[in-house]
Amino acid sequence: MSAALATSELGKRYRRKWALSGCTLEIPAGRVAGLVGPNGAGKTTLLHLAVGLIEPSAGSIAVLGEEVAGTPAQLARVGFVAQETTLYASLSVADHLRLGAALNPRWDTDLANVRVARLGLDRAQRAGTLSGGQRAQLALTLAIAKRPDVLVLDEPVASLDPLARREFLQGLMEFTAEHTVTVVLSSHVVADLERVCDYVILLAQGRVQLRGDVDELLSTHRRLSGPRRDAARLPASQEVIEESHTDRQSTLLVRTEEPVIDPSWSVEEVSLEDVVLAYMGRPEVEEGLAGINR
Amino acid sequence: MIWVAWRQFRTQALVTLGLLVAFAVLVLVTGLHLRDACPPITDCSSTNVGYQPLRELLGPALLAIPALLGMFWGAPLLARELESGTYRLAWTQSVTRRRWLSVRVALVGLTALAVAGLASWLVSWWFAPIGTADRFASGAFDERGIVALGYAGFAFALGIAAGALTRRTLPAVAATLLAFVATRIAFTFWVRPHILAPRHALFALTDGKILGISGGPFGLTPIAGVPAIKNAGAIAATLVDRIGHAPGGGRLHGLLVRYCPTIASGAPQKPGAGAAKGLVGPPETSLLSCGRALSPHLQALVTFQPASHYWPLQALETAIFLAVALALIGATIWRLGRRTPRRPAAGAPGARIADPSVLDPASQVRPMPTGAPKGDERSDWSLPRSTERN
Repeated sequence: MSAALATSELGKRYRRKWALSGCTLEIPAGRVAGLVGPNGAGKTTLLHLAVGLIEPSAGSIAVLGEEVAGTPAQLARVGFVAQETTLYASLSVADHLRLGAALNPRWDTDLANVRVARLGLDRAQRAGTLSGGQRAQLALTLAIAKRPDVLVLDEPVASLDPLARREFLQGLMEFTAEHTVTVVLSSHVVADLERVCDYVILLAQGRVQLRGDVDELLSTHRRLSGPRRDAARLPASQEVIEESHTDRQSTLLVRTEEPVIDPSWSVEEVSLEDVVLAYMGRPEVEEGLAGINR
Repeated sequence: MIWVAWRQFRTQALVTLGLLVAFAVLVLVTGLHLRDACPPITDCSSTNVGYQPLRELLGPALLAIPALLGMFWGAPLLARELESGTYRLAWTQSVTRRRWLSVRVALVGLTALAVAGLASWLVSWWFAPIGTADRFASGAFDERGIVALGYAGFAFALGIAAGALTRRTLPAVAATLLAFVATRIAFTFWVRPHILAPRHALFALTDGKILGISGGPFGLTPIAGVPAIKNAGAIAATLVDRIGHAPGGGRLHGLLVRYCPTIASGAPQKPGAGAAKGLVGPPETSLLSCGRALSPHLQALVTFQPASHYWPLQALETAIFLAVALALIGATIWRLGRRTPRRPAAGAPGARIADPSVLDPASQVRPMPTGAPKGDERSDWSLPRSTERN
């Protein structure tokens, strides 16, 4: 199946500063892809490029093989939930649903109504008076009732409390389970992504540092701990991603396709968060970051 | 899309409708009473039939309405979307940005024109019995007729453009007001006089109160005052001799000494009936006889806009403002709605990386370029160790 999102040497410059540069990636269709990275890494820029809110300064981007936001038909295939979940504060819940119905030919009225009813939203209530969690849920409702082929979510849960966050991601997972859709979800909370994503992209300093299938990443990374030794003396098949040493002990996070057979190591499985943090902490990632203490 | 545009405009539209109804009732009630008080034969302009404060307020109100429409309808239309971020919702629905912009701007803009047109018609109707003696004057020309349509369209377009440029409501409102007032003043003084070439006519000095006396480097000289011409707008008057040349100051002084010796020895006079207003100087009769004595040698060349130029001038000024408004709106929509991807800029970082590893399947780490910008990243990132930023 073709790529839902494909970029090639994509770059975006704001005045003199490149928010995103040389970004080449491909997100296969049908995946739930998590986009992670520190603040200012270019996540929002990349997602705004993907939905056509801004234009590339360099390179190219295609969504579902087409030019971004070029035609109403293309716009109809991409749903978007912006950071801060922007809604019209003075419009009611019902107004927002009517707005969605008026502006989207593929609008799924039943889906929208069912979701609003299940969320217990008062249709006459103004969006400005909804709680953060309700706003996020309404924004998600608008995006999925559009019945997109690609759903783009920019930090949708960043400002939500843990319960609202769980409910939001629950709603998202229900939708992805029932419909064929590609989701691109950005967050800096890796634990959230681990629950919903099967594909992950790490963006830092405007570049892709790591990307891949979550299961594959988890199965090829291991944490090794044992007596202190020099990381350079490991077998060639083991790539050291992160290392820390005490006087007597070494702890390494390595990437390897093969089982670790050295009996002096104790081998542990890693979480997605471990992997992401390890890659974020690599010196070449850090060198451009000023004033960071790790 | 039209429903969406209307829903977002509804509150403003209803508030304005209420104000407009109140304004219309005020104008209609007082206007009808005015018509009762002065039947067509009476000269309403000179007799005091009351409504003096209203006379002075209606004109300025009509000047203010376009500015208000620009500030409160035009400026926030885009600025509020851009400021609050709701454009990210609006522009990711299945409607192209250009269409979204066009429909919203057209609905509000056309309504603004209708409001200005109605208000202008009301004010023009109210003033109709009072007369149009001075209707080319800048206080009257732009407070009657159809020019308010042009001003309203222009102010609205300024608001749209300012909103798109500043992306914030308050600065957009302020910019709209400033730009509108500046443009109106500049147009009135520097453009309007050149839209239609004025006419010229020669007046004999025996004709009414044209002749005046003024002091200058050559001593007392006769001058021509600007006469009142019914329904026309007089702009300037100069003295010319019988073959149409403007004589120099010395020659004018010589003529005065020769033909009006009594005045030449007296005090300077304002043009026209200065004496009647209590100024010291020769009586009106002596100015008249002086005019009679000078008329074989001098006459007044008067520059004026004839009555027939009134509506063409109104139409042309309206058209100019509307054309500029359309250009502003067109440029704004074009700029905001542009969707064609730009070519990569020269020196874009994409050009200096040629590493194929990123095209490999999963879990490849992209080598950092040695020239990566240092200290160029925000330094406020927190590690995402399952705690959130907020």
